[in-house]
Amino acid sequence: MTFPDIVTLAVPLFILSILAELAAWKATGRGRYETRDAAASLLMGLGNQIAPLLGAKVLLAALWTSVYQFRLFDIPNTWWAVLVCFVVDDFRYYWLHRIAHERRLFWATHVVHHSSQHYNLTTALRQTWTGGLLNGALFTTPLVFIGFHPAMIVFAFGINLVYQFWIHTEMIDKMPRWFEWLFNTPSHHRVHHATNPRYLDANYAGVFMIWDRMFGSFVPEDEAEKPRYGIIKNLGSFNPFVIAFNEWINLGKDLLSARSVKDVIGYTLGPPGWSPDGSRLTSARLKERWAKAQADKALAPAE
Amino acid sequence: MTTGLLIELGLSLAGVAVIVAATYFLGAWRTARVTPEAAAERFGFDEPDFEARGWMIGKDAKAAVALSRDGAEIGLVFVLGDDFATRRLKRSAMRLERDADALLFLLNEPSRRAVRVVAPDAAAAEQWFLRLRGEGV
Repeated sequence: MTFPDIVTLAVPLFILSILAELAAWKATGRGRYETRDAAASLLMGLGNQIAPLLGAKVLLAALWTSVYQFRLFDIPNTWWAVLVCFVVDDFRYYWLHRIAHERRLFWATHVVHHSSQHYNLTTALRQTWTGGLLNGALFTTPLVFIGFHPAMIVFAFGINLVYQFWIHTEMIDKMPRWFEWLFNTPSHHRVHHATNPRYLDANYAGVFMIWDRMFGSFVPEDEAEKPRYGIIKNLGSFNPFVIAFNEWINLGKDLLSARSVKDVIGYTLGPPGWSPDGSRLTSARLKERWAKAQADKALAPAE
Repeated sequence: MTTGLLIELGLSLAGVAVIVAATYFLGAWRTARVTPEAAAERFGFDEPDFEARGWMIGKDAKAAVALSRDGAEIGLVFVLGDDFATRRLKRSAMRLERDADALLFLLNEPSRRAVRVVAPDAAAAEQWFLRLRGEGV
């Protein structure tokens, strides 16, 4: 059984879909496009294809080939094994994605994907240039150790990535109820990309929404509160190199200012926004601030 | 690097060029303008507990600045494409320069070195410069 490079094969589909969404935007006024933002997203996507060639791909292949020699089970390369691998890999993706939002070392890589204030199909391609080696080594290696062939895992994750492309759109409101329950959809993923406090740190799923429902991170889209996309402190540039390395530079500056091992651990493994004196805002504190404002608003007429 | 890979990258680059050109010709190259309403709305979303004492909107509508009601912080709103970004700075740590009619807030961030707010005239620039430095009304 051979496994094609599904992401590369999907590139023409990506391009045609974006052009179709652009035409729909122009025709209906639904959604939002901005040229420089779209160009930045697409160049990030192109860089994401090139970056692994600088060494990470070879190193991961070597690591996985070595680990595969010591696998726990001999899982055959069959269609049912691919299905199991796909589900297990989606579970892996959920936790990688969740940790990427909750721990700054991993956020420094993933923030790139959230750095656009727009939400359209080009946003799907705004991907990191860094972190592939760390994420692959830490989160994918266990699957290899279980006994899934590395090529099968790469194929399964490729399908996962291609699936996630179409959910980056404002053109689709809601899918049928059963589909919304089981799968990640444009509605669920809009919530994930939103900076509205009530939507922060939610909906980490890749394909199956059940992980969020199981682990308490599911938040439905509220029609009364339209998502506003981006990050808490939006970037001031469309430069792809700035987008790729901004958070790494900020993390580096913070580490240079650290006065103790506790500070170093807090800056790297604490949540984004952590600071020794608590002067910055983490997601949890942003949510608290929002909840307090809501409570004050509710009490206001009675005063 | 194999020929096949080069072809793939070349095709991807061509796809990027086609899409970017399409967005441009469909009118997606848009630049937002900062207005008092836009500045207040955007800052209100990003920093809901910041009470502005009134905004000075840049003459070129590219940025705006406000002092907080207690005078301890300043709020900045600046244009990024068809949208805005904001910054909330402690006045004590703010680095401010005056450049003719403009106020230059030095952020020294990787994504933005400075935000330039062009005052309506020299008198307004002077007044805001002193006010932000705590030397005026």
